[in-house]
Amino acid sequence: MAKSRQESSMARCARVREWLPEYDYGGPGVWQRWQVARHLGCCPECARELAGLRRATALLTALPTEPAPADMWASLERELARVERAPAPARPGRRVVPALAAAVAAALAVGLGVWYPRPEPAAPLPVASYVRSHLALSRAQPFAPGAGIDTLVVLTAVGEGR
Amino acid sequence: MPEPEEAIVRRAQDGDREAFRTLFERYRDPVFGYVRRMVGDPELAADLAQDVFLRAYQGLPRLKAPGAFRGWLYQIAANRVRDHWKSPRPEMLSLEGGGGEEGGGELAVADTRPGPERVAVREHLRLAVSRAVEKLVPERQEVVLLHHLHGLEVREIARALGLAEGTVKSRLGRARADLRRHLADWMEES
Repeated sequence: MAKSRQESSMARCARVREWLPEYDYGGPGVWQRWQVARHLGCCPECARELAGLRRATALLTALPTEPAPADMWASLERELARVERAPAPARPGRRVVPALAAAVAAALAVGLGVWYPRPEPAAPLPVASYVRSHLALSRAQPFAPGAGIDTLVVLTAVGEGR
Repeated sequence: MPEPEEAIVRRAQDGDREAFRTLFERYRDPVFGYVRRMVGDPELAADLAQDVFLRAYQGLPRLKAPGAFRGWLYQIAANRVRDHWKSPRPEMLSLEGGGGEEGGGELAVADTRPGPERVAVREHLRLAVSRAVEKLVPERQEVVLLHHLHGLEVREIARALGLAEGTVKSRLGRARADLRRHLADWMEES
């Protein structure tokens, strides 16, 4: 009985220790964190293990901090000047307005027919030669199918100022 | 009362060079320190850090949340380091110049100043911690440095590196376990 309780406790320690490294970072999950918190309260060994993990990352503060090279700004400024000579990309927020305006103008242009391709105007009807040729035909062959003058054609052409 | 960073970022976004310089002065050492730790070689780190600020300058107009400048800057730094690692390299540069005690990184330079034993111990500790960090796989190294050295929250790191928060937590946990293993000797003494 006591042996099985000891095995169960060891198994619990092993499981909790799998979760311990993430514990301080808000992992691994709500249920697991609850298990860890409960176990730490009654297991000094696992509590020591967590303290050891914390010390390991605390030692990172021993890392030396090295300042950046002193001439870094001067060097960067040269690069910035070079970049600024090239056309800079516009802010997306500001790019929306001209794009929108262009879209509206295009829509209006289509709506008003400005942009829409107009049909090619019909070639002007040569009224004089038309009348002349039909008069000649009506004299020579008065009963030919095209001999008569189409009054509508003549009137239309005259109305358009041709 | 000092001007809030968000306001400085907004001025920089509007093309105020002095405002950008203020941001540069504020972050140049931390950014350089991060890149230096990740790539090892100080000269290369200086080039990459400068490139980080150049990219930041160019990208500033597109930063939608000026209050998130710090995380965004570290995102650029992390991406720059990753780009560097992706590019073909003739040789890997070790943080400690090949692991020797002489030459190479700043920690390998012996402190010749006379001093108490404690100074020597501290130097050894710095060297040991540097090596322990260097031994971490890059994915764990970047999160542990961003969190423990540069103070970024898990959420900020997740956003900066394009990872799920759970992944960041998991990597931090594994990095911590690795560090504990690598620094076991020092853990007993500390």
